[in-house]
Amino acid sequence: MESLKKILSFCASFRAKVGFISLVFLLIFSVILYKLVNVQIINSAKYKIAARKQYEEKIKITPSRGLIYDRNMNVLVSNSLQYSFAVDPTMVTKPDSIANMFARIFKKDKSEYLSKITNKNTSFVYLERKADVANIQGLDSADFDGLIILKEPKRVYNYGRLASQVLGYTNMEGAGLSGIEQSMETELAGKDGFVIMQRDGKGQYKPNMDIPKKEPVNGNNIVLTLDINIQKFAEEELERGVKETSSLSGKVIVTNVKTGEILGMASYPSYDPNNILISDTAGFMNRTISDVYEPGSTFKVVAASAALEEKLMDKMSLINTENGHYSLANDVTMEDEHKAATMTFQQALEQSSNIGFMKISQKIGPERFYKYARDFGFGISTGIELPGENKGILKRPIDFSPISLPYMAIGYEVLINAMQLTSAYSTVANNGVLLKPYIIKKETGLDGQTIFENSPVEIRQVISQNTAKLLSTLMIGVVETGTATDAQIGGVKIAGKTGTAQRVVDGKHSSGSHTGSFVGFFPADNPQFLITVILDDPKGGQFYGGKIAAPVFKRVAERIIGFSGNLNLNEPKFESKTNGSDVINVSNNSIVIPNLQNLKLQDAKDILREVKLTYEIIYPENFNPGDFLVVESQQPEPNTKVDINSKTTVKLVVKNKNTDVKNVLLVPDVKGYSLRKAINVLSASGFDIDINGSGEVIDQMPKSGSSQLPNSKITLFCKQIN
Amino acid sequence: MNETAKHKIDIWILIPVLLLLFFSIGAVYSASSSFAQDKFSDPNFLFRQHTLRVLFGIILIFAFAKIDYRLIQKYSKYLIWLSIVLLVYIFFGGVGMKGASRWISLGLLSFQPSDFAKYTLIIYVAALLARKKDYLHMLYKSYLVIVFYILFVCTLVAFQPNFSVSMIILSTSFLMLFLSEVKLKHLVFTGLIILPFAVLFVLSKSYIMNRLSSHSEYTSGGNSNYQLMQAIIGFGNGGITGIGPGNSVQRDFYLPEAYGDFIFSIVGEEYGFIGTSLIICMFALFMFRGYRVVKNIQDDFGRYVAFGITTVLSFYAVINMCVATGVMPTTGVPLPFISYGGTALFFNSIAIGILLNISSFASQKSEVKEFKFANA
Repeated sequence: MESLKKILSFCASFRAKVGFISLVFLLIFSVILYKLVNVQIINSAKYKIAARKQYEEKIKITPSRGLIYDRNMNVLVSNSLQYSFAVDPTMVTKPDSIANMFARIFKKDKSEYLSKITNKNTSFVYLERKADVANIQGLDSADFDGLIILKEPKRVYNYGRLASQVLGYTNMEGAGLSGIEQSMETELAGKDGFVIMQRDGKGQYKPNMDIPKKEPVNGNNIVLTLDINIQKFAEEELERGVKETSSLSGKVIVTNVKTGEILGMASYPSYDPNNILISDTAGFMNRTISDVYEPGSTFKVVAASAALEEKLMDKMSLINTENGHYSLANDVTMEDEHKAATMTFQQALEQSSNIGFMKISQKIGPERFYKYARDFGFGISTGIELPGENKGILKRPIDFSPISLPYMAIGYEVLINAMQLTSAYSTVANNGVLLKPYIIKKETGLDGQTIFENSPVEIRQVISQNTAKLLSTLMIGVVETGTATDAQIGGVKIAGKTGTAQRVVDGKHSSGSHTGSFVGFFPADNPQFLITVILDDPKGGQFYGGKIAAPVFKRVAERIIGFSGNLNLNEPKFESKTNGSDVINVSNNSIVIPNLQNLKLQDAKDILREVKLTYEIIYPENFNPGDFLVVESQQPEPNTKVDINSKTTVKLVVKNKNTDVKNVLLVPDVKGYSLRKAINVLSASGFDIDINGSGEVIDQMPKSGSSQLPNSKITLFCKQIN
Repeated sequence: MNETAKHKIDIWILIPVLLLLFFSIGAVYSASSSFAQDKFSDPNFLFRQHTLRVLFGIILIFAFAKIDYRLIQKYSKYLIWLSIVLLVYIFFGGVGMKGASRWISLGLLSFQPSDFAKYTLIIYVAALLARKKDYLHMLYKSYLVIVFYILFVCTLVAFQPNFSVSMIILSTSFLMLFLSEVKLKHLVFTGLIILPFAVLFVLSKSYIMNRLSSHSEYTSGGNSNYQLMQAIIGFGNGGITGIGPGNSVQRDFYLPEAYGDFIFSIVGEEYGFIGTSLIICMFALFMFRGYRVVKNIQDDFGRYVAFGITTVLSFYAVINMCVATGVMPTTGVPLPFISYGGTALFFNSIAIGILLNISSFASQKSEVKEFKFANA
């Protein structure tokens, strides 16, 4: 009892009370410490990531896409800039000034802009989209509240429609969708760089930071084997040919038979790659590789080669041509226009006798015929570095019907593309050696150094040199006395073969629809050029290949000869057709200095680099790496013409606009919106969205009105509100 | 009563306080520079003010350490009525800040009377307890008189509105009563009577409810308490060693007004767990040394004042740190000696001076082993 009393009295003592109170405080201190251990030690990594997530942003730096040149380094495809302008009407403070400026620059009615700017129901409305950098007169550096400026790279096809199907086009993001742009995407695109920017809670980027940065690797340039002059001849003559013969479409390929290089590759109709949205999609196809057709008589090259190579025939061998009436099977009869009883092999080729070649094919037999057809490359992709090749159909002997072989001998029951035909005839012109066709000459780096260079690749010896020579000689006869006299050119020996095939209409070969073609090479004794001309469905009365395709061949050949003089492939003197772009204007021997005033320094540098002008920058007196620098003035003045060899250096005087990051979007206020509406508004404004919770938006990060780069992430905090 | 100071001041009270004050200079600079740059176009604006205040505070500490604390006892009644007048004045002439009219503007200085009132109440309650020590058990003659003053002042503070400070003063005052010879029965009854009023007050003030509900959302993983979420990110981002003085990223507008009630988070971010645990140690050391004075002093008034000062500052410290770490719902309580804030620093320094002066009257060693209150 005594001790209990003692304890009780101690408990009542103030010392015990103070001790008790300090213990309680100690306990609370421990709870705080426990919490801190938890947050700062155990879960620190999690919160570090959370902190990073909100203050760091990885911004993609798009590399400059590689240029595309022809074999003589004419720039076929280059880059420019496009600007889109929008406003956030809720942020605009000077609607009148903005409307005035746009009305002046784009020469439109001011009220049109004003009605958009004053529409308070939206937070994002375009004023002008995809305006060329040349036409915006410094609008890109305009600084109005609520004005949103978006910059996008734009691909410029300097020669317009020329080689459009070969070059292809890109999508809005600059990725190649067809042609070289697609097949060389990896090489042209380069590698994205990034910069990790730190921003504060107001969403503003912090200036003068040690910014972690990875420079983008710009795309490499592609040099094509195409000669822009030959391309132009081919396209112009093809178009003329198609129009004169009222054909549906057509294609021309010009190659260098010694190397397999494609010098010209034309398809008609074509399209304008600078305006793909308004182009007819019929023009998008590269018909030389994507169209397959029954070739008709041009395919006789297979049977002729096999017969000569296998010594089944020689030039003077006689063939019974049955007076033009030949019964193949019980119900199949071949009627020939050539009513002769017999023909020599040479006559059969020159006159393109169908019965003659049917007879020859029977001597060759299915297996050997198939082998030669396959060796020439039919039924197999040519390997040309372009997307969308259709390799056609070459039936295997096991699939032959009793009449397959004779019909294949004259170019039916087989589907080929123009490139395959071109390669096969180039084999004959090139002493029997099949070369791999190619259109990429080389890939060059930024400083012009060669990264990769193509060289001729021999695939196989299809026929012996003697056979090839003999066949060439016989083909000279085709042009001189046979079916292709319209292809003759004075002073130049041409060898070639015509083809006229009935097209399949409604499942049957039609006598009213044809494909007329001609393949020829010259000079026949030492062939350099080979030209394939195919016209589809001519409706102008004439349809024989010798009558419609041979003249096109002749005109293209004449222009090539006239242009290259000694028939050597060098130094074309073709002038670039400028395509409305004042910025990038590389003509043969003079450069127009682009207008760089008010452009961002980086953009100005990019443009100068593209036109291969050196530059010298005069910086303002004090500036920081994060500052917004624009070109104040330039020397020489814009639009001055300078000689390409004068090594002109453009002087740029730069001023500081003293803004960290331009070209940003203002974050709209979505608080109180439904989640769905908020997403619509934000994505229409060009933002990415991160959602927490569901229901109504109760908070957003960054806050409304802060400046953000396009596609930056807006975090929404949502809550169900009843 | 008339004995003079026998001993030196307790430097183990002074040292943690001075360390915290020095530390606050750096912390306030880190936490306020972005805000100051944004608001005043001068990153040093708040820092300069704070540095001057800290220097002035240190002068006050040493000055009041020299003044005999018993002088204050004489003026305690005038002081309490002065603070009551100021608190009442606030309802008519106060300067609003974030929806609360807690401030009085005196030209250059703005002045928060609740900071003044909390110490005058402690001093006056201490004076009453000392004077009425022989009949503290009597309900009408002493207990209710004291409780009247406490409730009057706390109610005025609560209606400023400053509920959290009111609660701290109330708790401190009642702990002082608890320490005395007041009947436990009376205390329990008073508590039972006050409780419904406090609940009613809380329910009538939507802002308190909002904070309480947003806190429960935070603890259940919700995101709506943005400030607390950012404070926790700040602590976590600091890790063990911190990301270095001046390197805080959270202060760049992620954590609103980081130099104020949430400065502990910036300390945690820049100095890591090492920094935060050291600060906790400083406050713990201060508390133990403060209570040591309470135990070792003979004078009743001095004991109650020392207890009140130690307790009220410890309350501020733990509540601030609990709020910043999410242990407690968000309420606006600054971290003593560290947070930016003029009035609080001014009066806290005076309080420390007084406490130091009291400590010089206490025996340095626990000489009295079983000291019974009121010399019984």
